[in-house]
Amino acid sequence: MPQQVTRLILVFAIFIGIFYTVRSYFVPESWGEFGHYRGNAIREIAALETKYADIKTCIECHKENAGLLAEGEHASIKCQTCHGPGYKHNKYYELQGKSNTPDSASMSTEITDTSVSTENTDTSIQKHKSTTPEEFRLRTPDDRKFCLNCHELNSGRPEKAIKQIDVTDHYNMKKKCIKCHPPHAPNS
Amino acid sequence: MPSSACTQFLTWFTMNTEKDKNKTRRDFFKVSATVVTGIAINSVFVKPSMVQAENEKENIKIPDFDKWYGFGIDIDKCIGCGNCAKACKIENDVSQEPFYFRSWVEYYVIKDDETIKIESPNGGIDGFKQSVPPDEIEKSFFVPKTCNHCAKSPCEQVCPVGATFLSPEGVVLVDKKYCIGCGYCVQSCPYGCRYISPITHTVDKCTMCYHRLKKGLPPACVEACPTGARIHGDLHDKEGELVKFMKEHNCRVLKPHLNTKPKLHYNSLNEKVI
Repeated sequence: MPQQVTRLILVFAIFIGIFYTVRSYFVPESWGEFGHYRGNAIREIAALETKYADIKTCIECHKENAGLLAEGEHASIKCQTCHGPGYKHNKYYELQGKSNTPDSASMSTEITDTSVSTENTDTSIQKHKSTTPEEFRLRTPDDRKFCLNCHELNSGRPEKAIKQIDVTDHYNMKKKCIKCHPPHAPNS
Repeated sequence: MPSSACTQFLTWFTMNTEKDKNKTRRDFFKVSATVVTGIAINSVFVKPSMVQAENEKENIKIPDFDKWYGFGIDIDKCIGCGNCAKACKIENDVSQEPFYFRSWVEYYVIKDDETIKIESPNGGIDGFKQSVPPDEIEKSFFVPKTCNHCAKSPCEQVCPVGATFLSPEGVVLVDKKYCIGCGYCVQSCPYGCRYISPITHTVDKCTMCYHRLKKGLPPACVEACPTGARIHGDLHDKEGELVKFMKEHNCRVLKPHLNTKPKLHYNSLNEKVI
């Protein structure tokens, strides 16, 4: 073999060798596993933490309210729509064990605002709330604004989908909505 | 010659090890054998991602090649409460500032004089107030919007570094470790579903709550919708909720002429919606 050919082959071999060494260094580990991207990216996204819990874990402890909700007009609403993300709350009670959870039988109402002196105020849920550390407490909205976020008369809302009220003429505007319409069973 | 070299090495090795009285040649071989076996076992059996192993326990595949996810939105049921947009921000740690949305709601008002007013104050998170007097309105409705998870997504095609991709389940995802924040995809998305995150300075978008799907849960927006206006499901599952919804209603997608093959199917979508 002529000398120049040998040298050329040697040069090519060195370049190819360098190329593959550099390539293996720069191309990420799982590149091309499923396509033109890092396969591990999928796994990383899948491993992110959830904030909204599985609704089954809510029902496990709050059977009474879940039952009321399922039979009423608010049946299509799920717990966390009003009460906010519950993953931390549910995880906390999962670790605590079931002993500290509210007695489901006595949880027929959910009015928790202590400033409202009403016969409906349930001591059990209040106790449950006060023993829950603030970080794991869920919101129990009871203001008119919260209800009106969905129920205020608006031309864009389909009439069949929701009962709407005109705030200017609805009975007793100063009263909280939930005094007359308990949110878990708002049929009245 | 090789045997003499070997003997020389062994002599040297023995001399060296003799300094450390506690260790024998046998110990050395034992340690060596353990280390080599350990490395071999590690490279064969332990995958780079332990996450994968954890999820496989629950029979959830990452990724799952049998699924083809899509969304359904029933405008006849949307009441414009903004709970979907709110839940999305919470679930995905999206910046609370306005203008950064993975999911948002638009309020369309078609007036008598045929002009159209489109509003989306804070993406609808704080709710909507009727800004046009009722006697001037011909028609009005809410349109929830989010990533269309196009089967032929322009955003995926323009990404210069392969950071945006269509997962085998049909979910358009962003690899934040690989994204260089050039913003080509933000410009290429015909539906305006992408933004540069002020937190990570990489592009961000709806992931269809991929992390929730892989735990057997529905996306946060679907979980938070009070009227069931949002439906999520597998388009390959012919008995599934989404396919049933699409059979029962006349669904449309946004901008079909762009041939992006969106998988966000709207029922009762007005032709004026862009």
